[in-house]
Amino acid sequence: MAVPGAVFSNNIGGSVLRAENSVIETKHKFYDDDFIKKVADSVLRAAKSAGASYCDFRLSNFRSQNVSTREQVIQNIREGENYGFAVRVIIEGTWGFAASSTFSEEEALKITKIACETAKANNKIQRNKVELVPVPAYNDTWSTPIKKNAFEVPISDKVNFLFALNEKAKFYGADYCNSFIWAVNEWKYFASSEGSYIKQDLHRLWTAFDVTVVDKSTGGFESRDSFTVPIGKGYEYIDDYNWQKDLEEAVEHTKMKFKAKSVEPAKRDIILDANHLWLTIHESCGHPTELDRALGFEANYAGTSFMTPDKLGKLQYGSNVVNIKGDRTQKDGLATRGYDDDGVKTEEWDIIKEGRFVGYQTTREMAKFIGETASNGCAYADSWDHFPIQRMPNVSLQPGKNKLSLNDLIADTEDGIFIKGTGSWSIDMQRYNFQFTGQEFWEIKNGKISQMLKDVAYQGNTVDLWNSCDAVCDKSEYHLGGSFFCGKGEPGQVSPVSHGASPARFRKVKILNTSKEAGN
Amino acid sequence: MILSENEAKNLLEKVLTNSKADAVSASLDGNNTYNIRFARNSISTNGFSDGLTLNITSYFGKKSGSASTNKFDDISIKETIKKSEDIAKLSPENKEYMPLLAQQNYSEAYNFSGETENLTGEQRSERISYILENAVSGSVTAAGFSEDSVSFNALMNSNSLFAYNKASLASLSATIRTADGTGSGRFEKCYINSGDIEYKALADWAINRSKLSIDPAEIKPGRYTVILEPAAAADMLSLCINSMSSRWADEGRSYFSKKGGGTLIDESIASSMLNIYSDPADKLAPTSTFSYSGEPLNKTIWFENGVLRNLHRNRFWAEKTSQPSIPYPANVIMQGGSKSLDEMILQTDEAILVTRFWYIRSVDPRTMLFTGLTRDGVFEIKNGKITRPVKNFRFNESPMDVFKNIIELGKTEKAVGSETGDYPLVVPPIKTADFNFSSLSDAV
Repeated sequence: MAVPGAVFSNNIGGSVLRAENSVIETKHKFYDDDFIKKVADSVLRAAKSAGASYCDFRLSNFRSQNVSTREQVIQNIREGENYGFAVRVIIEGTWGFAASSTFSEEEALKITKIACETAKANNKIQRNKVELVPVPAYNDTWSTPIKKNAFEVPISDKVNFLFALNEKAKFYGADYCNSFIWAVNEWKYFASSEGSYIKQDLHRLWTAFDVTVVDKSTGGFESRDSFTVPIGKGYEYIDDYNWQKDLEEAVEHTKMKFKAKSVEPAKRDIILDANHLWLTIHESCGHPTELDRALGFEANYAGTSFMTPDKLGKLQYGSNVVNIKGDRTQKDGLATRGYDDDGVKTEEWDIIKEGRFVGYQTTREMAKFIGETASNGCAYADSWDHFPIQRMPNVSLQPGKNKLSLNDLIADTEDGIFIKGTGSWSIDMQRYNFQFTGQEFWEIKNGKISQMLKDVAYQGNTVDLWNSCDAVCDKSEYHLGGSFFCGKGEPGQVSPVSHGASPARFRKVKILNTSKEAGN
Repeated sequence: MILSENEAKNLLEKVLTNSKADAVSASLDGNNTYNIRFARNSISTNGFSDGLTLNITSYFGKKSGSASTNKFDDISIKETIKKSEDIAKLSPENKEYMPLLAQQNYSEAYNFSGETENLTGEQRSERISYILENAVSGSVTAAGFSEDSVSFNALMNSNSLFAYNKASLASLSATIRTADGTGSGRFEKCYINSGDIEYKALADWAINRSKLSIDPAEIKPGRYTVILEPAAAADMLSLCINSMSSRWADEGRSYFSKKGGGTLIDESIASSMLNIYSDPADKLAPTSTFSYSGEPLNKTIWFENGVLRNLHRNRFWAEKTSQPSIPYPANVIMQGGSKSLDEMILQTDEAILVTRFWYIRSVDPRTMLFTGLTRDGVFEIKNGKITRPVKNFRFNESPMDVFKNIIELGKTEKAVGSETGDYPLVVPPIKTADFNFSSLSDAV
């Protein structure tokens, strides 16, 4: 593994920027725990007095730091904090919700009153009563197990690192290189009328670059994104990543794209690398197995799902090598935490078992619709002023049980395409029809990578694709991918989520030529 | 939280007074927002928030740093100022630094309505009740979202610039699905003035459309003449404007880059019927009259009779390339014709009618190729009539090819695309040839 400081030892302009110690404030200034609990208890009492059968209080601070560069230019250095609380009540089966950024006992009681009044007003047009499945009371704290807090690394070190990366990209032959480091710290305190008091401190990090090579004589240009992933780790991710290899290959392969063979549209076997497959899992399994979608709660925006409750336990979603789990306890996962925003302790469960659809993602409100007596902990709000809705856990394809490396899989493939990295992605509102591209496409002939291809997209139907999966590499090839920004809900909310996978092979998938699709 | 112009000015002056930087700019963004969400013919969630955020950028020479907070006690404000100054001190000189703007002259803005500000809980409930009651009586299922907000944005810098805008926005959308799961209709409208949302007519229309789209027929994917309703046209317009960065074109990495160098400005690259401009004073889509960086927003022509006239360009790139600075627009208007959508259908021999799109993503920026799907109603038109609903398609198409192949444009209206949010767009229905439907989707 490369250490950035060593790889880029000839970095540009570094010395003048380096500070021995960061002068940036890095610690939150929260009110003390006793005061927060006192306010929370006042809220819970006030809601009960107003007739609430359920109430929760959620105080949050979302801290974010972004350092963005292009070539040797700063695009943005920004640090922000967004702090506030929300009160959520159920009165006669109707939700009421209100939020404020002014944290005091007086304001908390005012917001509780608004939440209760809103519930009573909306109750008049409520047709289906809200019911929650039970949850035990917890008094606990939980933190992301990071080794190096990204907020404690001086900004000058981050700038130096990114400038060195960009300079190296130019040295290798890129015309342009953008890069960034984005760190997020989400702190939250949750108290509910079920008796829970939970404090959590969550960290996540996203760093990436993209290189572009331009051929002005032809008016053409090609690009490649890094294969880094957003992850539930600290700055140690940056220290441990093999930047040298990724950057060198990124520029070399970008230049190769100009001369790559344009793909012939046909049905071909494809091998999807883990750094591509995570997004296919996200779109074609993560979203359709959200129970709120399947029930129609997202019909006006994100859509519904072909995986309706009548198919639970019956649908042969994939071949018998396909095992997919939901897991909010997964190491380094972006959706990993101790408790969800309903106060439910997180867990791991089967979604697809030997190809069969066996489990949904649920919240306390959704679980009862399929006869479950407990939630599997998928409630999340991306801001203190947003209502917690059902959000995706880490959803991951389990590695194959038999020994199988990526090289073994390629060697076992007569005629196919190996796809690396995520490109364009799109899927319909019930998650049947998808089209994905990637960052790199390599033709496989007689068990060997033969040449680079370009203009490749694959298109198909979710169930057909997963039933065509005949091999998944073993755990030695397992990697996480993920996104900071899975979008859902109205008002729109984003949630961070990871997906693990080992490379997998899919037989006879429809390949398109994107240049021909554009009419060329 | 909404601050008046004087309150915002006082708070921003306090920030500037406490600054120790060579120069400083600060902004405030506040809102009061109410929302109600419904699904399965019942209320699902609701929300109220009164957010206020302070953004500060401090400058030491050409070094800059930014910090933001939503805490407004004196200590928090001072800490945020210091944080931005500390970041600036640790930053390298920005090679693209531009001096702060001096005071600018802004024209009057028309993007606020007292009717929206005074919307009551009863009025919100009345709209949703109408949709839910008619969905139930029509044996269909409604899901939707209502949101109204008052917001403000204020900017101040140490070079005497001050700008303030108070805005309002009300939106309502509903998706109506039929009991058999094969039909879907949807509307979404967003206006400065909440009273402009004709919720009864819109709900009735969506319910009818859902029933009209039941049991769609399967027709072969391929290239078809299509009529894009305004919601679909809005996405095409938005995708095009997003791609119109002057810098990217000058650097050779854009659809608008010219072979051999330069850009396609002043070249005819679309149908002569294509006219696109921005105007903060537009009556259908009025906006603030200043950009996020404080530049005045004025009428800007993007396409004139199919000729590309302008690309957006920030102040740095404008100075570097000796071209005028053109801020990213606050609205976009595509000129239309005189016919209603119904009249366009009546005079069409054969076409596919597309209500709206979904999940649009870039496939190839070189050709501005995008992929996505149709949603909430696709219909076959033959001999001047809608003859039958057809299954949804996946498309692979470039907005510029849509604009090259325009056959006819209808009457304009303010529209919301599936990827445009509340960004103000005014578009006509577009009849265009050779639209590329790549495959079928079973989704409804």
